[in-house]
Amino acid sequence: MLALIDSNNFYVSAERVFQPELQGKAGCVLSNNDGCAISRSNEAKENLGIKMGTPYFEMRELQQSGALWWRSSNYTLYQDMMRRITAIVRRTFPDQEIYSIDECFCDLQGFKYHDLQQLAIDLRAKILQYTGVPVCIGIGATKTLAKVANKLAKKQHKETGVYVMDTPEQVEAALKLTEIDEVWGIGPRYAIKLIRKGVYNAYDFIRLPEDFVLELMTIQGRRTYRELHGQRCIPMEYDPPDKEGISTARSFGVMETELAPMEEALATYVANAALKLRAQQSVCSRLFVFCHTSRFAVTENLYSAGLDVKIDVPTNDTGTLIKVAIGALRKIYIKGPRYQKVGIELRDLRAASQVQASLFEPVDDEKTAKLQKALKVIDQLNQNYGKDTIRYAAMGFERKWFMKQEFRSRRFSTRIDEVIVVHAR
Amino acid sequence: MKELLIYERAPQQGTLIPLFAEKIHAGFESPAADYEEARIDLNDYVSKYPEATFFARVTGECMVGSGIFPDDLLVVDKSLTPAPGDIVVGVLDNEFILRAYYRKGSQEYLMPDNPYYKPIVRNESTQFQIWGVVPHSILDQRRRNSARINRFEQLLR
Repeated sequence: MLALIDSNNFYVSAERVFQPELQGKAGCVLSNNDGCAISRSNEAKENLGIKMGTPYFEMRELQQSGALWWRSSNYTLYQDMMRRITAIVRRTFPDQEIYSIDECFCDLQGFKYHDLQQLAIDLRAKILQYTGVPVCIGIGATKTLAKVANKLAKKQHKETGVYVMDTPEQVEAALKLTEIDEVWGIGPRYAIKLIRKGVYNAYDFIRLPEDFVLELMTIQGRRTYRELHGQRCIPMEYDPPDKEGISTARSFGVMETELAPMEEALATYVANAALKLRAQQSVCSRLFVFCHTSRFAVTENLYSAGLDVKIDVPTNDTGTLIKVAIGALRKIYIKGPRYQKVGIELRDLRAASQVQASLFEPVDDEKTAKLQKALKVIDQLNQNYGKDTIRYAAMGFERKWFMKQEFRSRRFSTRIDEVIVVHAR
Repeated sequence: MKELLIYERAPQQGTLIPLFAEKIHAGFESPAADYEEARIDLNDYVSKYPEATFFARVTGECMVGSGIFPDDLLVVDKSLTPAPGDIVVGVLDNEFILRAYYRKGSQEYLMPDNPYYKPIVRNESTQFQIWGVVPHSILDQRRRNSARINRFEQLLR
């Protein structure tokens, strides 16, 4: 059996742990640059009809009248809370795949003779007490069935927050309660096709002949079909595969026309990407830089450009990469357009050890070793004392271009000067 | 505050263990090299369950009897269940409050440890929750210097 552990309204829940005044009130967390709602409390969904992606300006009145609270996304906080939750889960179910920031799958192979229902109920209570974040747990024979069970846990079993699909009767009942467009792996396009053919729920779907599914929905659809029949087709992925390319790009808080702030933003993205590169012990040999204006500003001067640059000696050194990236940006930048975004992608990644043997050796070995040592120290300092404590001058200090995050809460769990305040009164 | 930085959570990769702290002249290995151990990590001492451990800052004086002063740093462990006498972080009226948990019969209290403050009893109109237990607090001793000096002055008078 497999379990899917999924945090309820994760960003909103994480905010509420440290801000009790948000408890029980309609609220949401906004996307990067405070654009739209990306996580909503149940009250916001049910009472105010706020949807995923409802834009900021449509909610402004509600917020101003006090009917709704909102926060900018505080990814530092969410990432730390996620790490805590997944670590707690691992202590109960060690075979874990972290699927996204708020979901993980666990293989329960070793728990054949355990009472899974009780284990899951205990785990859920533990996570709630230890972190303050409510989760739901669904258990089924495959990843797709665990997803079905999780949805049911959320909708129909709110008190326990747990649903175990053990017997064929339970599976059948659950599939009948799952509408076809809610099935993991069936996109809206196929859902419409299926509904036209009279397939309304997951149970209707599994009663179709397999050949029919294959013809209608190709091999992907058959995979979902088999998974719903209890046959494991989507394997567990324990170690996330090394990334083939690393990209960082973000929209500016306000449109940018000058080169200097764009260079600062770019340098910061390069530093982020290079850190990830070093964390997976890779180097890159190509780098892609791009910038563009807003796609929606139709009345304006539209501009979009990108440049792919080859790096002579594959590297993960922030300094070298910043130099190359800024050089590329200067080639594609033109004065005039109001830029919305600049970004970078590190390409052609390979293991640093591979390169060292073939390419670095004839180069200055000692210098490379020294540089790697320095980078290690910088990464360590930045991890201990906060991101960008040690940074390259090219990354700038003013940061006018920085993401708009007007309503971000404090980083309660990772910064000693931002912890909660307790009143001894 | 410089002195407090040692209490920051250790980085996730674990503790750095010094392998060879000194460069050794060729030929003579340090006789102590085999005995090198990881330094004491206060995180291990103050929290039994790092994933459930958070920190908090104090304002107010209701717990001075327990040696907790304004601006002190608290270790809050959410994995612990409060036992009578435990110092706890509670939530009351949407605010974090610091008190000692006490239970007598079926009655639950959040007690101050300072005679100038009143106990809080759990009843229908006062519904507090327990957010976490405070197993340790960290007092910045140097900030108490002037208070100490005042006492010394009185003693010498």
